This record gives sequence, structure tokens and C-alpha cells, in this order.
Amino acid sequence: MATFMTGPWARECQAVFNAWPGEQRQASKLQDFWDWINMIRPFVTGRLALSVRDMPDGGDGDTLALEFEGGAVTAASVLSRADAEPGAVFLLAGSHADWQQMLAGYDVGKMVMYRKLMLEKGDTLQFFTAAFYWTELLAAIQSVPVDDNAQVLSGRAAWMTAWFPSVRQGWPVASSSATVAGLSPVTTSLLSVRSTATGPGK
Amino acid sequence: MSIAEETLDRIETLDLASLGRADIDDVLEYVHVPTARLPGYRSLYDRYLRQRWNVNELDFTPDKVDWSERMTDASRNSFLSIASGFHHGERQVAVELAPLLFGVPEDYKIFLTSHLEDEARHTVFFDRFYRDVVGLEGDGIMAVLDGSWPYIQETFVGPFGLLAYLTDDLRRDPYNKHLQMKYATTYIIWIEGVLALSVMKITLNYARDYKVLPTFYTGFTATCRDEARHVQAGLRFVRELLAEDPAYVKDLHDTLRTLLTMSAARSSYIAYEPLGWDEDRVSELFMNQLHRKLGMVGVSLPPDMEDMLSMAKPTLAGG
Repeated sequence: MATFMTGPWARECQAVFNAWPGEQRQASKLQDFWDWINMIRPFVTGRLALSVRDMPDGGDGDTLALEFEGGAVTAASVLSRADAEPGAVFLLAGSHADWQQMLAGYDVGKMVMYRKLMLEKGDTLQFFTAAFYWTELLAAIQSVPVDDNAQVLSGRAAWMTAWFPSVRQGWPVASSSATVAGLSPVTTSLLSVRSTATGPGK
Repeated sequence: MSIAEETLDRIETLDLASLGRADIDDVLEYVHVPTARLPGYRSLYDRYLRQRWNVNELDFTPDKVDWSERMTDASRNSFLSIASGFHHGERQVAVELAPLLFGVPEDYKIFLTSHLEDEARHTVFFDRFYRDVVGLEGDGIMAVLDGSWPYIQETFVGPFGLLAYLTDDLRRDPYNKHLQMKYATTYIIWIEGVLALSVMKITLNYARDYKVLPTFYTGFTATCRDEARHVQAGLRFVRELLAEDPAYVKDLHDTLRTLLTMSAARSSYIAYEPLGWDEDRVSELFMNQLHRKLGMVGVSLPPDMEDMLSMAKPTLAGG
């Protein structure tokens, strides 16, 4: 089990995401969703930086730098934000407390929607063209165990008591044929993050 | 005056109790006015003062009986799958609106203060519905929102995450008209004009046709009439930006491309049939709503975007 924001943790995040999704995760969503992810994947190239604004001592840095090529993570390291940001296409940043909450299982969609992670570098429309690719990445990172469990578990109690209605049981999740593959080349050409890799940041 | 115009005039003046007897399709039609007749901001603000309703006047007792005794598990499940998008959507559009006030024309600023108050009231309306009818419990607005979160499609974060991040962009650079156009396209055209009105039609047609949830029908129909003001003011703002510089249409199209790309994804299946709908009708409704809003600002979609729209799978939410 690795320590958060260290080299071993970064490499574990890389390995987990490159094998993502596992069977259980795949079965939890319609095939449509994974077809959409596969449509986006080839266009994800460049660096994504994920940063902690107030990182305490103990890690190798405050920013996870993931290098993507065609949707695969080809390198992963922990750097200082000052070193990671210049080469990043996108940089997301959040507080250490919010990171701990995510690692404890807090919904990754809420992490974005409630701005617990904010886009501090990169084009917003382009980032959201691959929105669910990024939330799956966050889910993969969330699944990597970290060894500072006491802190993680203390963040878990606050959100795990939500009421869960009984009628939710039997939720109809069914397989469905894919339609995303039909998107036109004009559309997909807009998805490449490579095109902004050397462009101006925000 | 035609019969249609008489109906729209009548919708304009109904009090809260009378809205419970109005036909939702007439109220939805009330949103759409010809471009040349889009009201001014001050006129819409005056209309807000006349149409404002008190969310605490609503008594959900009959709805609670319907919920537990007249609706089936399947219809409750489908209803929650669709209405929860609005529960969360209302909160999102309430908290994301303020930065737009900084850089827009003065009369629109005044209107937006009423828009913001509407969205806060709509959030309380859904909070009351989920507490008093569905039976969620918790301290404060967020606890109840967390309770309905399991019903939200994962793709909800697409348009609403985009809105949150565009709000940050606008907060940092509030006078940037390219950002204003991207924000207005996401908030006004897509979330309020397409998603919200689609949810309203589905849930309120169900309540009307199956004669259930009368208080929800009343409050949500009043919400729909409020949304008409927001959409008309917002479309007026979009039209003014385009009149100032037609090149802003690129920002509108770019934003819609991102939204339509996200809309090609869905993670779970919603059973519309228990509410009397099917997916083809929902998609048709969705496309129709977008075309009508774009028509009101004089914008068309290029062919590739029409293809994207035809493949969109609506994230049924709104605000």
C-alpha cells in the first residue's frame, strides 16, 4: 500500500487506470458508456496534472503528473506544481481535505460539480469534451489504496449516512447498442488534447 | 386576438392555486414567443413581481397519499430518476448564477436578481417535495440532496460540471463576452431551455394524465412559468450579443458541440414507460426544444451538429 502523492502511488495509479475498468465496474454501466469512453480515448494525449493546494509534509510533491498517449498513461510521477504545470494541458487542483474525501470514496462527479477539484489550467470546453473520461480516471485513482487510512476513514463518516430509498433496488440497468461510433470526423477532431499541449494556458 | 394568444395571456395572470388547474402544455408554450416579441428585461422583472409565489403555501398532503397508495414501484422509480435531476439542477443553477451579474447590461442585472431568487425558491420547492412526499430526511438542503443523489445519472456531471467550471471562468473574467456566450449557451439554452423544459413536460404530463401529485403539479407548473421569464431574458441577452458581433455564434456552436458530445454518453437506462413516455418521444422532445430556442435567437446548427443532436441521449435534469 503506497503513501499518497509519492512515486509508488503515482505508478500504482498508472497501472490501475491502464487496466480500467475491471469487470465489476464495466458491468455497473451500460455498454453505451464504455463505447463513449473508447470513442474519446484515442484523442487523449498530453499531460494532466492533479494538484493538492495545501499538501502537508510527507509526500514527494504536491502534484500527480500523468502523461497520456492515445488514452494510455505512459508515465506517472509526483512533482511540485511549479514543475508540473508548465507542460500540462489541464491542471485540476483541490484542497488536501477534499482529496482525502475523494480517496475515502466521495462521489467523483460531485468532486467536479461542487468544485472540490477546480480546473486551474486548460480550456474548459475542451476538458468537458472528455468529461466522463476524466471522472473515470478519478474513480481509478480513488480505487488505489493509500496507507494513511486514519485520515481517509475520518473523512468517510460525513457522507456515508445518506438516506438510500428502498425503491432504488431493482434499478433497471440494461445493455444497449452503441451509437456513439457514428459521430463524424469533424466532431472527433475537436477532441484532441494534443492540439493545445503547447498553446496558451488560462 | 387568437385563441392561442388568449390562452397565453391567461397563463400570465394566474395565481398559484389556479396554476394547479392550468394545462402544462399551455404553460410550456408560454415560454416560446417570436423573436421580435421577446420582452425587455424590465418588463420581465415586472412580470416576476406579479407572478412570484410562496413555496410555503403548498400543502403536499394529497401528494403523499398518491405517492404511497396510488403510484407503483415502477412509476415511483421512474419519477425519481427524472425528477432528481431537477432537484439537483435547481441547486446548481441557483449557486452558479451570481457571476453573470457582474458584466451584463444594467437592466439584465436587475432581472437576474429575480432569477436568482426564483432558483433558490425552486430549490426549496424540491426540498419540500422530497421531504414531505418521498420521505427523505436530513439537516439542511444538502442532506436531502445527498439522499436523492443515487437516482442521478452519472452523465449529470457533464452539463452541470461544465456550468460550474464556466462559472469559475466568468468569475475570473466577467466582462469577457466570449465567456458570457459560452455560459449563456450552457445555462440558458441547454440547461433551462432544453433539459429543464423536457423534464417539466414528462413529469407534469404524467401527473396530469394519471391525476396524481396535485401539489407537485401546482408548484412545478409555477416553476415552469418562472423558467419562461429566465429563458426569454437569457435569449434576449444571447440575441443582443449576436447583434453586437455575429462572430459570437462560434462560441455558441463550440459550446453546443461539447454538450452534444457529452450527450452521446449514458451510463444507465431510464424506464420512461411507467410515466407514459418512451425514449424516441423523449429524444424528439429534446431535439424540438433545442431547435425552438435556437430559432428564437436566429441561429441554426451546421449539418454535423444536427447529426450529433440526433444521437444525443438526454440527461434529464434541469434548473
